Amino acid sequence: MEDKALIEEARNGSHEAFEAIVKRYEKKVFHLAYGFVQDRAAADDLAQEIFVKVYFSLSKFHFRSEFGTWLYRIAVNHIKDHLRKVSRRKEVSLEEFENAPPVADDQVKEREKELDDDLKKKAVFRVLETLPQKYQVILTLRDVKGFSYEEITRILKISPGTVDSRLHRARKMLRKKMAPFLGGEGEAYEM
Amino acid sequence: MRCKEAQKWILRSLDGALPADIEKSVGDHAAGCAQCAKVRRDYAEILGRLKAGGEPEPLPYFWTRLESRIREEERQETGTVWLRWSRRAIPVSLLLIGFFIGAIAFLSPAIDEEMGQAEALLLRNANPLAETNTLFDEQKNEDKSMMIMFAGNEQLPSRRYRP
Repeated sequence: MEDKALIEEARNGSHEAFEAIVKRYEKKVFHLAYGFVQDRAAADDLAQEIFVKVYFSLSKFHFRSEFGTWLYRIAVNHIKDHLRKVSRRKEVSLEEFENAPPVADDQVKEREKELDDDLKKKAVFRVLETLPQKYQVILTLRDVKGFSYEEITRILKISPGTVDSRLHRARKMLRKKMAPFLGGEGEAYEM
Repeated sequence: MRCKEAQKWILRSLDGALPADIEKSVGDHAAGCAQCAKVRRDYAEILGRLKAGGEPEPLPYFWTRLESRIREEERQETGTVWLRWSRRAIPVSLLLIGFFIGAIAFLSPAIDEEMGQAEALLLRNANPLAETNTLFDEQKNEDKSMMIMFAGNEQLPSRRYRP
């Protein structure tokens, strides 16, 4: 059954129809939330809250956009509210990652590499959390979730030009903040 | 190509392939420029980490948990709606009652009220006690009774002024 028919039924009080909608979008919304919070339980909780919001807002959906876009807009706004509330803007220090358990055994190089990769991935996301919210949102949508420019334009209701400039500024900012975690010599020329 | 331009194109290249000639120019520049080569590597590494998969699945029984949450919210919503409605209804109904009472008072026909004898005499600048004094001056009880009886019949037909 198509989204439109399911939405109409859900609006008329059919829990089965809403269940079908949830099952269709559950993973997408969960993964979107996970892209922001990088925590399974928190992402699950956010996804639940988003669907509760969607359930009570179905009557406000007038089919002017695709249901998926409308759902993502609600999701992103809800996640932004959540990020504002938790406001986990911590300064990331190298020490935190340097204090990771050492892997001394030369025979476990593979394990060491995995650990290093894991730490570096965590570092990127921790640094991402310290960026101003608008940059955090656009980087997550584009570089973590892989949404196209058009999709981001529709979800955030901003012009393609704004998406472009904001994204580039966000990437530059992220790279600057990531400098201590990136290997190599010295600071590169900044544009 | 200068570093500034090269790094601008490196940023652009993150969203898709560059035109072949520009791609070649950037590559040539990066091959001879350690800084721009590092910028390229940095972005590739950062984006690689951001895009790295391995996303977990939602926790089990997603819909079951969601359904009970929705039902709970619905219960709360009903209570909240009633509370919100009553909070608005009380002052509105008080206002309506006041308006109703005011309308009744304003629109009801004026009730004619007759003035008392003393009020009527005062209105005509006459002494309301003159007759009483005459009554007290009478010696005979029969005359007093007769005077009281006649005074009752002589009431002046006067009405109160009502706007």
